[in-house]
Amino acid sequence: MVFNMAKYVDWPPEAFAASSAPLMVCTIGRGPFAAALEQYQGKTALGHPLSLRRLAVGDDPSECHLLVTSGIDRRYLAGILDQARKRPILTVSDLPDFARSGGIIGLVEQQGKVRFEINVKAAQQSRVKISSQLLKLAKIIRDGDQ
Amino acid sequence: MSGPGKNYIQNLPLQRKLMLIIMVCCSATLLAASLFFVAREAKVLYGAQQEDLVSIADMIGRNSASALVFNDPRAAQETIKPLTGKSSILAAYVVSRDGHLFARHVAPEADAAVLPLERLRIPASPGAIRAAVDEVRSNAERGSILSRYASLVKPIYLDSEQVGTVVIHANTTGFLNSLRWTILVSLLFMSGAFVAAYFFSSRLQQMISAPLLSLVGTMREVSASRNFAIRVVRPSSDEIGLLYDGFNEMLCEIEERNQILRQRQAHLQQLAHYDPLTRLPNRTLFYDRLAQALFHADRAKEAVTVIFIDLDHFKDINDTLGHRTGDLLLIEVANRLATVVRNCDTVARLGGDEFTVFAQNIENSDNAAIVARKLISLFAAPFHLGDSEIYVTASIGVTMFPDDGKTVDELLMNADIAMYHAKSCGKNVYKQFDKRMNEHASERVTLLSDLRLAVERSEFILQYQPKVDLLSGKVNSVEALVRWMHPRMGLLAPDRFIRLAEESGLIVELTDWVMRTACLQARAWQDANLPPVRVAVNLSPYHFNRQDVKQSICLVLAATGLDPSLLEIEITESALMQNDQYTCQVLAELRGLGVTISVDDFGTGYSSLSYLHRFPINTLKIDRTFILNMMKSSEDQAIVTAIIAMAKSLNMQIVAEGVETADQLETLKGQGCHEIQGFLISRPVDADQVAHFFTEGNHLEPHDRGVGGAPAPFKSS
Repeated sequence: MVFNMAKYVDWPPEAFAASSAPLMVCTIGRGPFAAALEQYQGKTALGHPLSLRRLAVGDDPSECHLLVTSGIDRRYLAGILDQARKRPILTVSDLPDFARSGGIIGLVEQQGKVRFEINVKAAQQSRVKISSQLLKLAKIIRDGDQ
Repeated sequence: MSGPGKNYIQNLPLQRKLMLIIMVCCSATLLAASLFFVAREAKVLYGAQQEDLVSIADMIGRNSASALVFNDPRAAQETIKPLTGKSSILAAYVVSRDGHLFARHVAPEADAAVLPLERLRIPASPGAIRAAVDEVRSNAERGSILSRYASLVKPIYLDSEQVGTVVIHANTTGFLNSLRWTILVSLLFMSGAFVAAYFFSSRLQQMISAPLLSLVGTMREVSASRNFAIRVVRPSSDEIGLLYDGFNEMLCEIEERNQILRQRQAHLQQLAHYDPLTRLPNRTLFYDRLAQALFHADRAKEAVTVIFIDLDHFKDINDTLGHRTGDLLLIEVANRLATVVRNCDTVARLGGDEFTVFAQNIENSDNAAIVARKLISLFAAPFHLGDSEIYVTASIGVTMFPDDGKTVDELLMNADIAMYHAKSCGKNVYKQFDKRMNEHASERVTLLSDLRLAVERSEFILQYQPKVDLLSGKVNSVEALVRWMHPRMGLLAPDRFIRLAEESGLIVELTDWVMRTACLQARAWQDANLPPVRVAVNLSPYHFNRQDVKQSICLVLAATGLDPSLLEIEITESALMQNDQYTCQVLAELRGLGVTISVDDFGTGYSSLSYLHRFPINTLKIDRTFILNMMKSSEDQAIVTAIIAMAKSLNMQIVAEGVETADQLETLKGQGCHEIQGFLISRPVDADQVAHFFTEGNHLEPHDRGVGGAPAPFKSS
């Protein structure tokens, strides 16, 4: 899910050193999403090979393009988002109200299916462009905490 | 093309043929163009339809990829929702990679039976769905341009990874309708173009057919009217123009030839039916017209007179004045004859100096006599021929149809006989035919056959008439005169047979016989020691025509041993004039031998006196008619005086013929005439009787004339 999501996102050009530079996917916590990413190790998305990295809470996420947060205590969330803010990092998490809390894409479960919430403002702040194809599937969060 | 069809087209009128050619070409071109247009349009339309489907499939695929990836069928259904407003799309499906039917749209009018995905029972297994998708794919590949619906199966990719499949069924009605419209438009265009082509071809073909048809029309007109003067006006400078030119040239040629032909025919007609000299009808035309006239006269019980005209002494005129003058005379005679007859009558020239006239609707022979007298009177006036002015008379024979003959030949023959009678009656008269004349004519024929025999049987004798010198009273010469002892008719004078002999050619043998006999007689007189007396022999103009006249005389002289100085040749004036250069030469040679030359019947011919001195003539014999009339007519007296005076000045001897009275003798003696001949001295007598004149004294004394005193019934020369 997260891997496919990368295909609908444009990072600013300076985020990659080269066109074939690896797409750094960093995971914090041990949620089901982080585990699911393991199987995409080495695959390419939009020409970038996928590179996985585990981070601990507090680690510098500046090299990451995509930061998946799953299965951590909610009180660390603000700190992680602070670190990622102002950087071209797409933040994804299944924590409740993640998008409302300043994350870019929040994953929520509805009637047994996974749905998105996308905080457009957060995405704009991170200079990450999200495809309209993804946006039309998502619930757009316009207000909320920064 | 098959035989009958080809024939049919070849036999079509030119206009139809040209139109057919133009229309066939136009139609073929139009059909090809329309087919190309329709095919191209169909291809374009089909391509557009396919492109449309592909773009729709692309759009669905692109829009539904994220829904597929993120397993959101509701969103996928949203992506195909716009298709519900598009009437051409029958059905559209989005199938996920794992074989789930993700989104579905079916138009109400779609026939579910033909759509494989609609036939599935719901819920369907992924395998069944995949099988249905494969069936659609294979149908789409096999599908033709004319299928009722078009299908498209298109995979959906996301970042070069297939995430699902789009299946679309589209209605082809729009395409087929467009195609129908295209075909309809092209058919309308074709019909319009066909009508336009018909219209223009019917006008344009006239550029070729109209001048040709016009030419054909003219040709028909020419052949119907036979008017070769018709010409056509060239409509253009192309091959048709050349054809017109050729046509005109041919007509011109035909017209020219026709004209020449007509002229020649007219000329031939003229030659065949008219005498070229006088322009009178010739024998052929005369016979033809007379036959017609007799035919009508026979039916209408009318009389026709046929008149035969022969000029008197025409031969003499020809001989003395030349053939040119003779021709002029004939022309003038023809002109005069034409003035007498009516339009319905015909004057013709049969040949030579023979003319014929027939007059229709003559009541009786008295009227015919009136015509004949009119004809005779035509010759009263003199004829002016060049410088000469001469009097010519004609002898005329008249016959009547049906009394004197029933056929053309019979009438002409009898008219000829009547004419001969007129001639023998002193000429310049007409005679109407009489049955008895026929007997006379047959007598002529008999006489001719008798004459031939007479030459073989030596039935001729010679008589001699002395000529007496007026000074001495002695006889110096005698004229030998031939007589025919006819077995049945007795002694005949020369006027009965000389003309016959001349016409039959027997004159040559007769003259030879006379010459030989006379020479032998003269020789005999010499052998009897009688005084030398010349014997004079008449030479016929016919005889003189022979080139060997001198040779034959020499032969006779040699054979008889007669001294040439005792032979005298008497020729007529006309004989002298014909072929005068040759005559002059022969006479000179004869005179060189010592033969004496006399001109007989002097004064009756048409000779000019100026020529006389050119001829080697010894003696002139004045014609008996002048002597006969001398005592009654001062004119004849004057002529005799003039002839004697002229002869003396030319040193010629003068002999007067036909002296019958002492008065004539005295007058002639007074004029200085040298000799006389005539009944006053003696009629022609046998050789032994004439010998007495040689020895006895002066024969001018009255007592001496007893021997021949009684008038003889014969002409003396």
